Amino acid sequence: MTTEMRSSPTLASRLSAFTRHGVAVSYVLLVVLIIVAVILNPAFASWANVKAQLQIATFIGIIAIGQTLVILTGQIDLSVPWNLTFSSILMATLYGQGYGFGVAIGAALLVGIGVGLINAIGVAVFRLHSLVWTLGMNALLEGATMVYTNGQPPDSTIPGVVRFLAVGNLGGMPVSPLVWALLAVVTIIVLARSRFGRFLYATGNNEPALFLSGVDTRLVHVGAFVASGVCAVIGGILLTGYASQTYLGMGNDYLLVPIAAVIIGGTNIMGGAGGYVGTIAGTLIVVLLQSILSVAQIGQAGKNIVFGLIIIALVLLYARQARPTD
Amino acid sequence: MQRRQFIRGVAGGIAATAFSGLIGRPAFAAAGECIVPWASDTKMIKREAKSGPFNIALSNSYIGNTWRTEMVQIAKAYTERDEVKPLIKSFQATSSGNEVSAQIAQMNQMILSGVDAIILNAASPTGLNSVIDQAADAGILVVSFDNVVTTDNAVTVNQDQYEMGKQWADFVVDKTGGNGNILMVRGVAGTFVDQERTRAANDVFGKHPDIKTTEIYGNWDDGTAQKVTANALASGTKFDGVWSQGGDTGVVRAFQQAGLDIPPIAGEAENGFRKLASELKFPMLSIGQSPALSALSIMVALDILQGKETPQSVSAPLPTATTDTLKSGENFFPELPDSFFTPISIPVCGLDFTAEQILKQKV
Repeated sequence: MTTEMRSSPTLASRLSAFTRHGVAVSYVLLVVLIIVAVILNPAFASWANVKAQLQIATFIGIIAIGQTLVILTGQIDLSVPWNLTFSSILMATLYGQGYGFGVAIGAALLVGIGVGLINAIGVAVFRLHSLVWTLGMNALLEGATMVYTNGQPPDSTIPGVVRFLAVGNLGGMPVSPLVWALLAVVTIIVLARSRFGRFLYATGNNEPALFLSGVDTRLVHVGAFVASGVCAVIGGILLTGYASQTYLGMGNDYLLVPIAAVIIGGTNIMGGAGGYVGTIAGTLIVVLLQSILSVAQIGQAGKNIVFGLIIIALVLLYARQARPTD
Repeated sequence: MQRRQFIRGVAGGIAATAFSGLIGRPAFAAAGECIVPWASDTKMIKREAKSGPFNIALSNSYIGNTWRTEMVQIAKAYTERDEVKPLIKSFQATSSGNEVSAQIAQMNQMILSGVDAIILNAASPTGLNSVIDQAADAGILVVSFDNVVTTDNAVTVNQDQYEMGKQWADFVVDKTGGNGNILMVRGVAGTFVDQERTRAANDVFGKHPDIKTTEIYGNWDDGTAQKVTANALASGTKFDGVWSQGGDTGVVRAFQQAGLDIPPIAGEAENGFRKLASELKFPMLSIGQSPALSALSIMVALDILQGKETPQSVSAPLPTATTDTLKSGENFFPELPDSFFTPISIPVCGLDFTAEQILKQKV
């Protein structure tokens, strides 16, 4: 990305052309994967399997909402794993101690907001790169979890409402993908229609220019990181309901996979281009690919190679398309 | 501590090892023996006896899971025992994270402070060898356990992962009559433990042509294991048995959530797994890596420092439970979280701990 000023109509049109393209690529890949999966195993198209896949995709998809917003601004949130773990354990413990589920979930969400605020302060006020700052935050939260639990999540109870949100059914539909769908719609509308959405893209493209045009870009970072913190907490709460427990390290799987989903979905890792519509495809691709490779009995090494190749191929493809905008 | 038993154990162990060496299998601890040499060609070591009390340090790498925290807590509880306390001048446990360089720095610090022995759970099987050599040069004893190191300058204490994988597989073969679909929930790909356990399972299943296996990776993590199991179940295969290396609570829950009967499951030793077996009564074999390996390693270190002859590589017993042998408060704990690791005691070594004794220790 060059730092020269560009007139906004051209910028916007080029951006949307590119975004549509990246998104189109990821959806084509998704359709191909679905076809391959059904050919390999016709049971793949069964409603039971679709439900199971959507259920698994929900955790990644929701965490990837926050990660999409942060990556659009050119930053990254590496504090997700222990933010998720700490807040989930806090929720289950408070509920186990007799507080209502409102208090328990509220406290967990406050943790997410606080983590997001601190992340944003590091990036927006101290001007440190989020790669370092949020990694430090992650380590700090790991330590906090150890002190709070003394290594063993205290005897805890999972609120019924959390169980319902995670594994319940509503008229034959599993609830958690509905939660994801709701959050996804809100995210897509915010990105496409709101000033905050436009500022996210503009921050990733050219933060100084946005600042000089009179926008307090620090607040844009606050918005993105707080959203990411809250999404990690929501993902953690649903995971708690799914697994019927909280445990140390439960967030370890949710650092790189959601980031991969964002990148596969066509969002530029340097910020400024992409969006959540693509991330939805990216999330489903990641989940489907795992599933197909498992069913096809391809070992973990093979899986890693396939994953790596797809990410490299897509990043190369997107980079080629991005070049004309420079 | 059972000193007499220890001496008998060594003698018996050598005999047992000589036998199992003939049939080409590493020795594992049989009933009634605590400190058993790993293999028939394991060399014995004996150092000049020193009189205590000793300075002991525990160098741990990653601390962010329940097994590791229990391991540290058990080590602390052990050093506070009446019969052990007089032998300990100081005991310090520190965790460096999974960075090899950080653990090297941590061990250097221990060497400089002049400890008598370092108990080590290593971030890498080979990456710490040079600093272990330095410790040996300084006359410091290094006992490595769980994630053991490759250098001969360290004594190793571990459970036989191949034997564990084999016993799980034997159980599954027994319960399924040697035919049907078996779900294999593997651990973290590329680790020694995962490879050894899986090699043993494939050796056993390979002898039964009517067994068809499906392999998935659960990363020894309940949430991950639950997801990949749900995935495997959703693809339509009916599984007659499960061989699982960890994350077993999640494996059972995936079957529950899919509305299926729970098949016979051989797995690790998480509290949630045993709680569910006790509640749902499905056939279960549970063998776990014991967090009390830390205490056993300290015991071995104290033996060597006091001049006892000890194998350079010790094979620790496998703590086993089945659905029929489950006893609340003894080998599973209904009031504790699912993630608690149950095999906190190694009775044959006199290492008996209660959950309360462990959990009151600071990590």
